Amino acid sequence: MIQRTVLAVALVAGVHGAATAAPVGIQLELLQPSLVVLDPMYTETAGVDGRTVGALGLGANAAVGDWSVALAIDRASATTDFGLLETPSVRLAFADTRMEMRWRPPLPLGGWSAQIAAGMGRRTLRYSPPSIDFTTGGTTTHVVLGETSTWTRHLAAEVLHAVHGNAWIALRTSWTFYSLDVASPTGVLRQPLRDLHVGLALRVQVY
Amino acid sequence: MRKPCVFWMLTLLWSSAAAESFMARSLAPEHGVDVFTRAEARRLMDRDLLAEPAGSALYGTVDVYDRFPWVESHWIAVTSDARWQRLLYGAPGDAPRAFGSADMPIAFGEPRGLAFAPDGRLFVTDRTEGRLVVLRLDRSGAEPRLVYVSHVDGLVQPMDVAVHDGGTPLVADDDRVLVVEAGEHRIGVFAAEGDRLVKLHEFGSRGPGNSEFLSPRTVAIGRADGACTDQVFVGDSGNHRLVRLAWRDGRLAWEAAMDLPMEATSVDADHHGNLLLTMRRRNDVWKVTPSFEVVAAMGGGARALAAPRDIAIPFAWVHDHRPGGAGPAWRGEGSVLVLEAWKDASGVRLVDLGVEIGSLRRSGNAELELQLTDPAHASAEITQSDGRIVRHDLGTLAAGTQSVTIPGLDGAARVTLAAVSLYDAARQASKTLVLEDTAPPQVVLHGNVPNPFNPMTTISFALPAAGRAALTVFDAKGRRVRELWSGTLPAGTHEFVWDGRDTRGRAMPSGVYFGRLQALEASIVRKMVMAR
Repeated sequence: MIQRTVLAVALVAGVHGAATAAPVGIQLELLQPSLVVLDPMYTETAGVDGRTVGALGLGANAAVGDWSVALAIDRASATTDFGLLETPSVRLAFADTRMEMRWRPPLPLGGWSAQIAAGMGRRTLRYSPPSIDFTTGGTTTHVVLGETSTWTRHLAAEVLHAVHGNAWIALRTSWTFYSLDVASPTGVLRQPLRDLHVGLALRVQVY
Repeated sequence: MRKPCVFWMLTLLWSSAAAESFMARSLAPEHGVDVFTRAEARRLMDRDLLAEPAGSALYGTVDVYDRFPWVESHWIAVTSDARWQRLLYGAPGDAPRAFGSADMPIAFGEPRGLAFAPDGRLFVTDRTEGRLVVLRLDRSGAEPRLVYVSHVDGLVQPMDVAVHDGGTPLVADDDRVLVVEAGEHRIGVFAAEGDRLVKLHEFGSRGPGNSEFLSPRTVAIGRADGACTDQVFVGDSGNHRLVRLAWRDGRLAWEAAMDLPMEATSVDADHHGNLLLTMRRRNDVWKVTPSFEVVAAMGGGARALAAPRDIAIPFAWVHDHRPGGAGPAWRGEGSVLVLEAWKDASGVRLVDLGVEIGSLRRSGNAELELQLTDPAHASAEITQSDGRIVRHDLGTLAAGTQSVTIPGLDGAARVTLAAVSLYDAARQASKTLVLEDTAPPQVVLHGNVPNPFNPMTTISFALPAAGRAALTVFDAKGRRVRELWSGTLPAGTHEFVWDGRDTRGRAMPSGVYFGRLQALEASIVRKMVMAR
């Protein structure tokens, strides 16, 4: 509920800001390496080897004054053997597409500034290879590892530093909130999950 | 739900032919830890974890779903610490929890033997307190916890415990708990009535004969397809033997015994019934069929086991929740947990059960005799003298020595036998046998291959006609070390493997040895060099 309120305020403020602010610009976000700290569910239930994984992303944003709208994609992957003793690891890929509204308070400090953002997106979990066979007690079980998608919401805070006048490096921290239907021995449970992203972004003004 | 890493690891670089029977596989390459030793505990955790590990057990659940996370498995490892009077348990690879006297209304004296029942009850023998403690694995919280249930007093030096599921892993009411009471040289049999254990009867008394034990130390239940059979195996420590008992009319009865070169400190049965036993002072782990045929041994070499004290086969509930999926099944993994003496360089290892073809020879027309170390799907590829290739599926074969009939196998041919382990299709073995069409004009003793060898070598010879033959190994001083074969053989080529051990199973030192073949009034000797 809190995230929805923040998102609504940001959207309303964005529209207002866009109507009153002056300079317009378009930036490409060429490279966004980050570290993702996954929700503990991934290690405790899905058997992912570690909670911290690397991610790469790219995107673009359009700015009007202190406000901007951004579209970005992220790709991360982890490995899992599902905790089985006899099965080789498979790769679990996280594909995120997200849209967000950003606001930069007018507080430039010698080339430094800060920015906050809120938005929503879509996450897809995909295994590679898409199926496994594991054997226990001489019996082989074939499991198709299907694709899973869910809507996400996120909040972010960034520290920006200008480079050469038309480029910025952003140190970005974001929290992604989403729910996932997770099967369990007692049935399907809708679990609220939260991931933490910490990374850098290189943004170049192209217009 | 981390996979075994810090706790469980492996080692074992095994270069001989027997390597595939016990295989090392890195379970946690991200940690780079081969074996969890006292030194590793200090390095990774900055403390000693165990003082005197005495027993181990591994209990698992595997759930399969039709949606994320698709497969979910959890393992709980337990190790008893006889000196620090506690159990360490937890998901392998995660920080372990301790269960000690503060967690129950009684105090641990010297916890030793451990055994899980399929329903998650954990039985612990306490040697000095003369007690059997029943705990339960409580999985209702975020972290599984051990919870005290009950205990039985009045036992005399209980060393080990095993649970017989009555052949019905799904039903707990017919379970029987067997406790080795070393002080009374007997096996106590208990039944569970609710949370209480009630003693039903005892078996054994002090002595060297049938139905007698001398300080028995370990007990295991026979298995077939995961479920318990009516066979019970006891490590009779003082008599240096492995004893097989059987359930008859609800009571234990003596069946047979197998002499061992040393006391067995632990014995357990895998999913398909093979017995794994440790002989701590010999640094050996043996793989033995329920009919007492030794099919493989692991020991010796630079990276051998160091004083293996306990061995445990991981078992798990496998439950396919998908529509049409199989119901819960109690299944064993194809690996063993070996607990070594807790020295700086030895510790806890996980060793996979592989498969190896121990011997292969023609035993008659259209008949091959072979020895498998583990149950496997077998097939034979016959290359005839005219180049034609014929493949035969031999089906699923049990561990041990057995004969298989292959139609049309006569005359010259090249036979390649392939075995695929039932535990994992990736674990395979193959062996080729060249069959001669015409018998040689005289007895021929071929050189052993390899030569020099370490520690196994194959000796082959050919007979011009069927008859009695004896193949014997002597050392450089002319002492008889081992008789590899004595009996009647058909005409043709025959192979025998010498594992570098004498008749009593002792590993022989490096040096020159001689293989002597006596057959059809001929006597031929060949020199062999063992270089360990």
